[in-house]
Amino acid sequence: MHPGSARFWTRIVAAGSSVFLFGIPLFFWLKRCSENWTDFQFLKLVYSPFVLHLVMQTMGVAVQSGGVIFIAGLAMAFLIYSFKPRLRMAIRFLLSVFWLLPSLFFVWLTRGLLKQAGLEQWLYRFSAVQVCWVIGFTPYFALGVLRILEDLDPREIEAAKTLGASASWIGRTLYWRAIRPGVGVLSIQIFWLIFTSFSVVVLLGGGSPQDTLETAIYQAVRFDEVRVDHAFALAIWQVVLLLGLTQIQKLGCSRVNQMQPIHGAVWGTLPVKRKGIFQGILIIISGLGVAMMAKIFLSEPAGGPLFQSWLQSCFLAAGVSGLTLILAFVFYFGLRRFSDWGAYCSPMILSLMVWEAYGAASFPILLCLVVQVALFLPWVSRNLYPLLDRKRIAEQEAARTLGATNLKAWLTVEWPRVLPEVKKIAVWISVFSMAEVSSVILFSRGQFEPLAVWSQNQFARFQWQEGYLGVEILVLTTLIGVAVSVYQESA
Amino acid sequence: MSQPIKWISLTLVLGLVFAMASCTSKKAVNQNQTSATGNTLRVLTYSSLGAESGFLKSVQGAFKNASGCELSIQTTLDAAQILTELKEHPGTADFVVGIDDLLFERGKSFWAVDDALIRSIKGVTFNPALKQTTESGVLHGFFPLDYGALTFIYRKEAFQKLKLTVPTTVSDLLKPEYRKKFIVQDPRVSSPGLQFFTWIPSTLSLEKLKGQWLTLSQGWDASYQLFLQGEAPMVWSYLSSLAYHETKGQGDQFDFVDFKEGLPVQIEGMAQVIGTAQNPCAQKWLSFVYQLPIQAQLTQKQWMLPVVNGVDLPPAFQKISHFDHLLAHKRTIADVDQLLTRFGKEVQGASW
Repeated sequence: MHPGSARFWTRIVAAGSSVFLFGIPLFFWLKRCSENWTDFQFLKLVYSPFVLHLVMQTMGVAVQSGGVIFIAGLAMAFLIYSFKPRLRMAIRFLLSVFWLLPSLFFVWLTRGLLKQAGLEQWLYRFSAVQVCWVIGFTPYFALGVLRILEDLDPREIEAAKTLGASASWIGRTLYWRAIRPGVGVLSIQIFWLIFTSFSVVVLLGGGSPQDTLETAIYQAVRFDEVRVDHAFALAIWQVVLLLGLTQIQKLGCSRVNQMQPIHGAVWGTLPVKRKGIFQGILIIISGLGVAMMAKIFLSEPAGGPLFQSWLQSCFLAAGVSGLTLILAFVFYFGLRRFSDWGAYCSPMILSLMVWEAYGAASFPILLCLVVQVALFLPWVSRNLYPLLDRKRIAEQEAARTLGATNLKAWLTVEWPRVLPEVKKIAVWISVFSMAEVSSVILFSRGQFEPLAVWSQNQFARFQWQEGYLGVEILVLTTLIGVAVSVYQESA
Repeated sequence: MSQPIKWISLTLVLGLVFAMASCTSKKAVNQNQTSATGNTLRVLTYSSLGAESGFLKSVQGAFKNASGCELSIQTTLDAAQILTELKEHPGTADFVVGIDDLLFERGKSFWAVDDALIRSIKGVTFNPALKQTTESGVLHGFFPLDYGALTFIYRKEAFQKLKLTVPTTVSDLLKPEYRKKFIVQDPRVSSPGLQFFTWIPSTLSLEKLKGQWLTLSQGWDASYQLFLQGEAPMVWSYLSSLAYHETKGQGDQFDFVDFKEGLPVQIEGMAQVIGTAQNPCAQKWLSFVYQLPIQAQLTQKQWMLPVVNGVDLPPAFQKISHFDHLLAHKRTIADVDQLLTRFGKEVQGASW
């Protein structure tokens, strides 16, 4: 690598981005943690009864809910697996879309379901929170298991049956052995989602004592006093837990990749002659979505503030989407290993670090951008890098022989190949960014209140009708995102 | 245009749009930061006081006409978050409106004690009921705005339906029949919530009480919204909430709990923020806000009682303004700290 070469500059940019995104926030975090180190003040906070109590409480509810999700997810996966392929495909698609909906939608749904079922006494307790986690995360678990089941060789099972194997032997030996590694990874992913859950706990838990590590970090800096050292003491435990979970997950990551259920869910087996009809339906869905959104924005009195919040969310989502993709490429050619750092933190911890490093007062939208880019970068790299790794070396070599520069050769040979995936990822990042609450809420105030936070604040004030309008926009945005993504894939 | 160039251009356009959005938000923040001098008084308050239909917005125009000063309003979710906001964004507000005596005590390092400003209100005749607070040396620099007693407001119909009797003492709240029947506010975020927890006797077990409330909401408006939706028959609120219902023609549907211990009084007030340049609009604001017609608006916009004597009260307020079962109990900042430690241990399960 020569100084001044393209690769050299890519590395410089990647290193600079790493320092800005992770290095400086991490430095400030460590600096704060090491303050008063001599008299063990910070250590006392880390091992204070309150923190230990919260760690145990968070782990307790996570294990309980995880257990239910594990059983329900397995049952759901086997049930769907028993359906005919076409029906299975349709259910899988619907579940994929369902799981992608924003967490605020699940809060609204859980509240409605508990009221309808006459279980109002479950509200404002951990029971409601756990029900919401089960509703929201079971489809994800089931989809993961279903993908593994579909990869099984049916001839192996048929052969075992022919040779007189009992159902329990087939279940134990063939099915369980096949799904065990994937189930382990999926369980860890579910724990990760529960540990980092924010809106669900705040809105359905009913406040103290129904707190988790994630909500307590928020309370430490956003309630009556700003106690950053308290927040960092809580964050240490969360980082340790998440780091452990991520490392275990990495061991089995090759078996089940994150976010895969939606990819290729539909088009693999859809007959070519019906693609036109399906594309037409997708265009109609998108058009209806836009029309419904316009109707909400024109409604009084909530329409105006909603539109303003939505615009802010769109700006943020566009910025996050573009910058994450650019940095994903920069890191790929520069310092690949650093792209994964954001996966070791929860959105709240990342926000806290950025808050400490760059100050909460300056440029809230830019701070949210930094947090979300760091948050989405690992996910983008996991989806994009395997594709980038499958290089067309011979064709690139040929282009270079014909006089193309390295960049020109790459743009001509590789770019058209990765472009559909890039488009799809751009859509997904925008959708996820718009639904993000915990990476934005610390920086949101007054004039900066993106849609998800706006809806969260309406729910927190129990103004369910207004909050629901915000959630409706978020759901419509997700559905439009799904339609656009599937349309792109079909095209 | 070739595909890569098209996409790079699109990304650049998105980046440009984003940068413009960032600059817009920066401009908004800067506007607040640079307008400390001149004809603007930057006021920090909580959401309902600074809302479109709130008191401050309703007098904004009249204040400008009377003094030539612009009232720039920033809001937080609840009163207790005003202190957090001042810590996070120093120098962005000249005046805070809507803090109570307890919050004033807690945030003492944020307040400027301007003798000229204090002298400027010497001629104001405050309600004799507030004598203790307005003349107390402890609250030097605290400018009262309005006041109200706090208690549980209940829905008569729900009580009849559930065959509940109205509680008479604080310890009644621990009785099984009131389990999940009332809503209170989190003392760490909400000023009425802090009033509740400092009002209840320290001998009352919070550990037992936490099983009794339905939810610990993060603000008064959230809890009252929940109460109006019928989620619980009782809510910790201001006595003047009854006046609101009276005006809406619902006076016969609601009533208040008259605790034997007496009802705590909350005085909402204002304070000048330290570190900001002396703003001539501050004095003009105080002269303006203590005028009788402006104080009278507090009953309609803020649903609180005016602090200045001689204000004609609307009929709905007659009943609650002559209420003499008020509790004069003085709490110090040490009491609040003690309470929050107790709250941590007994409500959250452990304390720091």
